[in-house]
Amino acid sequence: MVSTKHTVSVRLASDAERRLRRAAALQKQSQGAFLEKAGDDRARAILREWAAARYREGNRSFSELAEDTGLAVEEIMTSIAGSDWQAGLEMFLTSCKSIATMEKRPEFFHLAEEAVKTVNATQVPARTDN
Amino acid sequence: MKQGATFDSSFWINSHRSGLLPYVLERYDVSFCRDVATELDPTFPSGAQFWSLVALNKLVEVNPVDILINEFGRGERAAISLAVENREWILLIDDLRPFQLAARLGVNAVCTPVLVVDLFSVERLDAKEALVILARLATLQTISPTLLAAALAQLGRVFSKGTGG
Repeated sequence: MVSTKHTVSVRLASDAERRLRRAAALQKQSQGAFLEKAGDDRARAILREWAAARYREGNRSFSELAEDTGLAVEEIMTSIAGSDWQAGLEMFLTSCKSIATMEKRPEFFHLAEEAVKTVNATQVPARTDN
Repeated sequence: MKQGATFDSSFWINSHRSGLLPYVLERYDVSFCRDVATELDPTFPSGAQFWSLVALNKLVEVNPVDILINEFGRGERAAISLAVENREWILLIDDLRPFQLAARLGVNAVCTPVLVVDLFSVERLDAKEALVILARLATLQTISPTLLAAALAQLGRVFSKGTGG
């Protein structure tokens, strides 16, 4: 994909400029490249958080949020669960226990517990950067 | 002959991340809209799988003649419009509000949790396989908890009757 580069000028105080120069050198990057990456990483993090909050409010679809933020739909979806995926499993198990009780089929809950073990054993940490 | 279907990006991503996608591709003749494809970034896992399947001609691009709705994002508008134009198809869609609109328009809309229960009902998945996929969907937190709870309850009923996989 061809992307157009845009120029943004930044004015820095002396101390900030010195920190930038030193940090960029440590990363073996030009100051411009360092700022480009740092700025985009920070912008993405803010937009992911904003999009996740709008999604949880229930008034924006993923497709709309992608258009609003310029993030990929998968980047937004991945950020929703974040590190809190265990909460989803707890809700899942609680529901299965209730259903097993209602249906008088305790083995349904045992199967759900096995399913959770399988998911825990195969869960890959979510990627939220790009 | 497989039934025709199209999808929105949230369904594709949830299916890929939960392990449901192979069953979707096995069951349906899947077409995609260009506006949905542009939402599937190839630098992410589900987007990479989508574009590799496109390269293998496993997925066919079909676009709606007209965009029939103004709400939601481009991908959702295109997928719903295509499903309206092809009433015999299934619309695979996970985002709740677009799902509800599609249903109001008379489209045969299916979300990932319901598809899991259906695959169990026809014995394509056994109970543990179905529960693993539903548990993975629960971890994603990108499916309405209401839809997930309803699917689990239905799975429990089918399991109780002993008519599932």
